[in-house]
Formats: sequence, C-alpha cells, structure tokens
Amino acid sequence: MSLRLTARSSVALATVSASLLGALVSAPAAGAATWQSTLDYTCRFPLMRPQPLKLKISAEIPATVVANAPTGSFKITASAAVNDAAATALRALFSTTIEGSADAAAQVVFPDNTSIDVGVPTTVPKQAIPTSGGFETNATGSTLSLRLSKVGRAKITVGDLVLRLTPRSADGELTGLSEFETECFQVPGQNNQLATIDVTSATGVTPTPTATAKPPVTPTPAITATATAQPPVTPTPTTPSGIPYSYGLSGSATLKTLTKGTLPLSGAVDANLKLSTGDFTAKIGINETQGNLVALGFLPVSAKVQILPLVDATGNLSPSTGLTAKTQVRIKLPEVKAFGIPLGGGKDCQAKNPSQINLTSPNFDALEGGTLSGVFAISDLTGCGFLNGIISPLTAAPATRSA
Amino acid sequence: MFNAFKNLARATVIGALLAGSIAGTASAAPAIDWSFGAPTPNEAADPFYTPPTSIPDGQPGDVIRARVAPAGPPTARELAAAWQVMYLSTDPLGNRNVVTGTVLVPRGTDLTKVPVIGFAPGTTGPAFRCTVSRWIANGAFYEQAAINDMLRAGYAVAITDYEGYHENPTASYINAKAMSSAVLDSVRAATRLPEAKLAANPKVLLRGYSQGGGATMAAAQNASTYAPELNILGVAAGGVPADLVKVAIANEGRAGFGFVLNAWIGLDNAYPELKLDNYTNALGKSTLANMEANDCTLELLLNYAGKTSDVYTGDISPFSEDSWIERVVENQLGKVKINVPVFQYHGTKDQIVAFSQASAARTAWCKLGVNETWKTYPVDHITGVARGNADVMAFLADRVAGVPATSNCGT
Repeated sequence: MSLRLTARSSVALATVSASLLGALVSAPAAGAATWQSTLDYTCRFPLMRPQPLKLKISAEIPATVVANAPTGSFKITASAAVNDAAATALRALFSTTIEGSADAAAQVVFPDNTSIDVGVPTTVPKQAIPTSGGFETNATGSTLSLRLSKVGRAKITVGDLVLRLTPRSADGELTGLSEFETECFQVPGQNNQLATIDVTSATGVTPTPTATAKPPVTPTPAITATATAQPPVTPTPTTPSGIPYSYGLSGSATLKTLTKGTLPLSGAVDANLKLSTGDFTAKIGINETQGNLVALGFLPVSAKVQILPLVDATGNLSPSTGLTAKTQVRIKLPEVKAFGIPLGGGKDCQAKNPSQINLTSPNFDALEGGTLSGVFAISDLTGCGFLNGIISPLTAAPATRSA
Repeated sequence: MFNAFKNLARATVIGALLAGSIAGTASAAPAIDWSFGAPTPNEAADPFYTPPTSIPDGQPGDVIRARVAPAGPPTARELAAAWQVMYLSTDPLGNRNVVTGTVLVPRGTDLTKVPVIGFAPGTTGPAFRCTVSRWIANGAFYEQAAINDMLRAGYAVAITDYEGYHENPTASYINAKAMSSAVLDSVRAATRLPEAKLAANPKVLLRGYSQGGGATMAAAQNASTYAPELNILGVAAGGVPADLVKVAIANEGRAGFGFVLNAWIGLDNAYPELKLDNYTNALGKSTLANMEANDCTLELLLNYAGKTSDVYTGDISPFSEDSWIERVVENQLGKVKINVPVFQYHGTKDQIVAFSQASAARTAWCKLGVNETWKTYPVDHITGVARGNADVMAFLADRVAGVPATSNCGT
C-alpha cells in the first residue's frame, strides 16, 4: 500500500483513524528507517506503445546522518508489476525467463533546494515469465555510501528508471531482443518523496586563532532534536493500549560560551500513542555524540557527550497544542581532549543531578515527525577532574534549532 | 493541421529557392533544412517526415533535412551522436523520392577513419508510428542491441526507415528495389551529412536481418550499378526473404500471416496499377486500412496468426494474378551476382521466412560465383534476430581488416 509518509501538513490527531492502524508498526532496527513509496511510470519497451508500470519501493535509510560523515549504503527493494501486454510481447518472442537490472535516479534535496543525484542500482534476479497474464519482478540493491554536506532535513526523491533486461528462451539462450534497455518515466503529478533524512551539524570547525584568550565562561547546553517519523514496515496488530510509532531523532547540542561548534545528536524515539487521549509514552535513545569544538576561541577540543534517558518520556499529542513531553536525562562527558590530549572527562564525569527536560513541538505530525525543542538545566559536573572547574556549572539556555 | 500547413509552406519555399539556384550549379547538393523541431513521440504528428511538395534537385543520397535525435536508450546515447535525416533516393519505378533514416556516429573516435555500416532494419510494420527512426529515438526499436554492438566496435551506422513513412504512410514493404535504394542512399547520406564528420568515401559494410536481410542482399546486388562509388567491403544478411511467393505460401494459416498482408499493402503502394482494392472483400479492406494506420511488428505477429488469404479476398487472390506475380518476380533475389563477400545465415526452424527459399537463394548466388559464407542456427525466425550477431560482427571486422573471405559454397 502507499503510505502517506510525505504529507506536508500536520496530521491532526483527531483525524488519525482506524484505517491507519494497519500501517503502523514497530521500530526497525538500529537507526535505519524503512520508507516505502508507490509510483506510477510509463515505460518505453521495445516493440510496444508506452506501457504503464507500477513500482513499489522500500528503502532502508537512516533518519539521521552526520554532515560529511559516510551515511553507509541504503538498501533498496523494489517490485514492479509487468502488465499482461508486456508479458504477452515477451512470450511472443519465446521468452520464458527474464533477468537484469534496474537503475533508479534519485536525488537528495537539501533545505536550500540544492540537490545531488544518487544512482540506485538494483538487480532483478532471473525469474520465470508465466504462461499467461502479467507478473511481478522484484529488484534489490543498495546505494553507495554518501556524504551529505548540508545540515538540515533533506528529502530523498525518486526519479525515472532505466531497466536493462535480458529475456531468455527455454534453452537458456538469448531471444531476438538480446538485452534491451527500457526507460521508464515517472507519471507527472505524483509525490515522489521517498524519505527524509536529517543531516546534523558535523565536526571540524576550523580553529580561529585569536590574540586574547578569554577566560572560560559558563557553557550552556542547548538541545534541539528533530524527530522524524519512520514509515511502517509490517502491519502490527492494533492493541487497545496504543499504537507504536517510531521516530528517528536528530539534532545538536552545544556547550555554549565555552566552545564554538555543535555536537550532532542522533537516536531513536519509540513512542506508544493512545489515540483516544493523545497521551503517549516514549523510550528515547540518544547515541553518544562527539565533535570537534573550539574552546577559548582558539583551542581545538574534541568532546564526547552522552545523554542518557533515565525514565520513559511521557507526553501528549493534541491537535490544538501540539506535542509536549517531559523526560529526565543524565549528561555525561566521557572524554574531552585538546590536541588529542585528554583534558578531563571519563566514565565518572557526569552531571551531579539528572536534568529535567521539557520538550515541545507546536506542529508535530505523528506520521511525519517534527522539530522538538526544549530548555533544561544541567547541574554541576562531578568526577571530571580538571574540567570540573571549567565546565561546571552548566546552566540552562533556550534551545536553538539545528541549522 | 497548423503544423501541416506550416510545413507545406516551408517546403514550398525551399523548393522555390532551390529551383531558383539550380540554373547556375546543376550538381550542387541541396541545402539541408535544419529548421524542424525535435523528434516527437511515436504516436504524435511529426512534419519532419512529410515529403516536400516538390523534391529538391540533387543526387540520390543528398540530405535535404536533418535534426539531432537521440541514438536510442541511455547506453546508445552514451555511445553515439545521432541525427535523423531525410535524403533523396529512388522508388521502385525509378522515380526520385525522399526517404528518412538515422545516422549514428560513435563518440570519442576519429570519425574520418571509421567504417560505415548500412544497417537495414527488420520489419517494424506499416503504420507511421512504427517508423524505424522514431522507434530508435523513442526507445522502441527491437534491434537496438545490434546497433549498440556496432557503435561499441567503432562503426558509424546508417539506418534507413525505407520509403513511405510519414503521416498517411505509403510504405512499399519488402520491395527489393525500394529497399536497395533506401539502404545504399542512407550510407551516402551519412557521408554527406557534414555534421557527422565522416570520411567522404569510407569503408562500407551492409547488414540486416529479415526484411533487413532482404534489403541488404538487394542493395548488395545493385550496389555496383546504383552506387558504384561506395567502397563496400562485405555484407551480412540473415533470415533473407528472397522469394516473396514462397514466403507467402509458407505463411498461409501460420504464425507470420500478418507479414503477408503487410506485403500486399507494400506491393500496392509500390505499384499503383496492382489495385489491391479490386481483390479485397469488405473485411479485407477494413483490416488492411486498420493495419496500415495502426500496426507495428507485434501486432502483425499477434493479430493475424493462423489467418488465410481467402478470409480477406473475394474470389481471386492477388497472388494468383499475373500482374502481381510479375512484380513479385522482378523483386526476387538471387539472380544478380554480388561482387563483395557475403555472410548469409538462417534459422533452420524459421517459421516466418521459409528456410528453403533462403537456402535456394544461397545456392543461386553460389552458382553466380558469389563469395558466400553460409551458416545456419537451430532457431526460429524471431530468435534468429539476435543469434547471428556475433558471427556477423566477426565477419564484418574481418572484411575491414582485409582478411580474405573463404566461401563455403558447395558444402
């Protein structure tokens, strides 16, 4: 089925109806989201008038990546329905099997509307052509690992296809068509967005030498997280207790005033939403983050930061007020280095007290996700050795939206 | 309508200009009209194909219209630059006509050194939407794999559409004389299209399968008289329909009967005196009108299999008439010596173009002293489209390399 993953408008909670329930599923594994889309094409097969082709695409794409870091390859599966007319033509040429490859043109479109082209090569394994009627072909493949340079929510769109197919006769030899190439053009007017991917601020701010070193001032963390809805993969039976939603989480944290630069945040949110009330509980997992920062205006510092949720987040999603949530986290600084030399940190370096975080998102969309922002206080650090005096105490500050 | 009028006006202007300039330079090639828009989808109108109201003066093979066109699907476009051309040629009655086609040149090579292959396409059908150059531009041509192989091997390729492909088409399907001129002049056109940057007198090879096999052999037979300046080094032809009567008889009530009906239309278009209408019944008239308006290869193959002539005719079959038989006989192949090495091949299970008549033509050419290499494959006609390709490419490469061809006549 086609999923409304890419709807731009907010899906008001009140309109989430039972018909959606079958599409909502549990979280996929380890950071990668499964996105699905169904698109209509017109294909130029040999010998034939242009033929319609319906393509169902499923892709494993992380909801969040760090700018300029390798994304890893995206796994793609696609199934195409070959209609009876095209199948009849293949049979008329004594074709009994078909195999080959399908290349989809895809684009990563950044928030500033610049884009990069991404080839999506897939393999169509050899399969039998039925003696009557149309048939489905299934292709699998993966993209090259990308490096996305622009921070913000990028869209991944799917474009035209090129099929390279080899039918074979019963003796396994080439038919009269030999190998043929077919271009399939997307029917205009469709939403061709397959996925969104949040590119978070990267490492590597160039040190800016300055003559006057300023004394350390109190750093202020600010966290902005963007939660991105992960599309449903397998229907999950509805339970009276609520519907599982899962989101990728991305954002950034800064240790303001002490340093320049941001630490990318990534993670996942598995929420369970009760449709009747809009109440939800969510398990939040935030990956350890690290980044290269500049301290004192010139000192290159690398820091690792952990944000460990201590309890499940609780909150409410309502059409009128949007999303509100609260949770408790403990901030840890396992490592802080300057010029590669440990300055402090360590497994015991953490905030003395948990931080209470209140997150809000005025226009959060249960299916699409949205930007959550929150303001919170972090208590004095403890167990950080040398850094205790420099970084502590941390105080709350208004969150800023990541790029 | 607007396009048609506009085109008519343009054609008239060109004709007038040329008429005015001819007096001074009788042998000058006509100017090439580059003003036509891009190729259109197969189903759409396209005035590029509409013949000029008066045919410009010039020699057979002179290009009178040209435009840039896609070389085919993406791989072909990477391999080659391509143009659609309209060139002067000669119809089966010996009158001047215009024919369209495609010229493809490989990228990244010294084009003044590449040999040119005149590729004679197989049957695409009588309707305007089936025009070979339109199929190539729109990715529907079923012999694209062979074209790509030739481009990869570094050949330029000239591909005729054959005569009569335009709105309200009048294709003289499978007519040996028309095909011969169309193929030979397509090669001339390729060398005379300045933008293609080919040598003026390059090494030339001819090849084709099925209708294209017949066209290739017809062109090979006529080359020394019709286009003696062409430096043809060898030809390769498969699935050759050398004797249309035998091909037609073998298709009565069989798989390829649609091609026989198409040949009726082709003969009627080539020779107005045949008056096909005098032989067809009401069903025949409507069937053939629909065929000429709509049918391409696949429809010819699927929609008429198993049919017989008597369904479409009155009491008399056109092929029982002397007037028809005379025209068929004058287009039979195997009666004229070919002066360059020949590779002829055929599927032993050919269900559409009878094996026996091709084998007989081979024997006839051998008797005429043709240096012929004959090869068979255990395949049907359709599978044979691609099966001989590797052997064809090897044979042609040997001719370019100057390797002597070894005839197997007598075996």
